Amino acid sequence: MKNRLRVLRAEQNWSQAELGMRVGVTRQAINAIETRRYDPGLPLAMKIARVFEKKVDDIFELEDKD
Amino acid sequence: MSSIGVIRMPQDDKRDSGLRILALMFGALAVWAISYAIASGMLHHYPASARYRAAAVVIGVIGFVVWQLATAKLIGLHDEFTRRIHLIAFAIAFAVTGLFIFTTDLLQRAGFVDYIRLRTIWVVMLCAWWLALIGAQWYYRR
Repeated sequence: MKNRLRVLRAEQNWSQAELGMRVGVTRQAINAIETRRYDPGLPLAMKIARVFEKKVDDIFELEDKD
Repeated sequence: MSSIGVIRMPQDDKRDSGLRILALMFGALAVWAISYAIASGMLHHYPASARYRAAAVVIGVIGFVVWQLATAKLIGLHDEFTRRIHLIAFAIAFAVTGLFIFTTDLLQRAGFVDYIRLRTIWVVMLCAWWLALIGAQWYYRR
């Protein structure tokens, strides 16, 4: 699953640790999502969308292989 | 003391959560170690008494169950990503232990190895769990 997390985070000038703290996960979790090694569950995806004031679809995008 | 006027920062909650996790982990390990020591001592000192031996088994098992419950609680306190890592580590440890038991069973029946103690299987499972945890963390966090 593709995501725009790194771009959105850069726009807010947040570190991975800061974003992690805002959504209640570790810095490593944010890093794993950004590097596409880990797809977040729905609650975490919704928390991420909420802190960026966007819809989940605006941040995460399904690919054909998913 | 009143808590009015005290501002709690996110890092305070994180620190408190970390301390709670540490306390839970060491508390459960202590219960396990103490109960195991007591059970071993009873088995050593009262080998002829069925009542004491039964009590030793019950004490040892209770200590172990406490540790298991605490470990489950501990994993549940983490975020979903860390829980995923634990899940993968458990799955790998289960597979490795199953493979070890299956293989040693066949080796025993084939006459290549002698009797294998249950504690050996236990150590293999713990080592597999620990290594799988490190491996999964390395994969996701590199």
